[in-house]
Amino acid sequence: MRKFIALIIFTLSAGQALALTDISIGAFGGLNIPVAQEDAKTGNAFGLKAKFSPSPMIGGSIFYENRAFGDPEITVGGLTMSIDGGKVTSFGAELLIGNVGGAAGPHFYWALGISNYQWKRDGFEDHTKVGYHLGPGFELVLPAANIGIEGRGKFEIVPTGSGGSRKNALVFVGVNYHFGLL
Amino acid sequence: MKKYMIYGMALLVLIFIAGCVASGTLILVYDIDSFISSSTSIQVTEVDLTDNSDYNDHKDKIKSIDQVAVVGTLENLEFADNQAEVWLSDVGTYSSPAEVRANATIVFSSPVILAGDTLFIDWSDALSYIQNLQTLKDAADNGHFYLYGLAENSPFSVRFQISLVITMTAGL
Repeated sequence: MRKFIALIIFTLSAGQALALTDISIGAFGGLNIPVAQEDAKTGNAFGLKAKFSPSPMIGGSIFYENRAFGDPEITVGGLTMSIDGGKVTSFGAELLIGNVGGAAGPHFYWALGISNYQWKRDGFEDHTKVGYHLGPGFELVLPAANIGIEGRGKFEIVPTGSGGSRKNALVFVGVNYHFGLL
Repeated sequence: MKKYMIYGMALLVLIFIAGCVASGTLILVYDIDSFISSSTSIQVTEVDLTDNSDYNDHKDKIKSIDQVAVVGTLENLEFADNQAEVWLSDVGTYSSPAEVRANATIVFSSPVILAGDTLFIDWSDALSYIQNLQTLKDAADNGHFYLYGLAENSPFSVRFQISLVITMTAGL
């Protein structure tokens, strides 16, 4: 049992030990959670990304996300009504800091990014703004498979230009394919 | 170096959290008492959003009025099809349809209501019947205005049972 645990620890630590560069692509899905927005509800989200890590501590990625908000509801005179929550497309880039290499094992990092955020919904003007986000990520790259299982959290702020902002929390789980260590 | 990186991250997190709690988007429902307006006796209703506790709590911290909709039930009490209209003004003393049309701004025009029929305007439908949205937004931002009930054709007699649904971004 001790040998097995030691083997697991050794395997998970490999990512820390092998500090090499990496290129990967991935797909992810999760939840798009509006924060302090009564006119939107939680919806789903999907996305694609490509990551380049020229150093084991710093990397960058570009991404595209297709998200939806759930329909908000109000009750007027005892009747419940709703409007379209709308759909968001977001594409952007982010800086990754932490353990961002592609070696087997666990990788924990922070992401700081900027994106073009476009929210379309029936009855409203399109809301196209620049968004900013920050959040942690964790990826477990499986030994000898070039596959990584990743979980991420993002907190996003999209200034509205009137002194206010739209805020969203995003939670993703995804799979990455690592092309190899350069 | 690692310590400074952690401090930097912590600072960024604080900035993001501060931004998070600084503002939010709220939905207010302002109910207007039912009234009947006719071509011979037009009805005006005063809207004072400070009567709404949510509005009152945030009136000094409004960042933007994002959307305003008119929802509710409209009843055509005449014997001819007609379209109900809501006109907005900061003056509450107009007494004829002509005076309202000359001085106020139309902000809502319903689809055709059959003679003697009732039409319900849902929130999702309501957005497409709004006119001069910016005027309506500005009035909501100001918090006090008057709404006149009219119809496209005269003679008319319409019962308005409506509410304003206001979406706004405000400091919390």
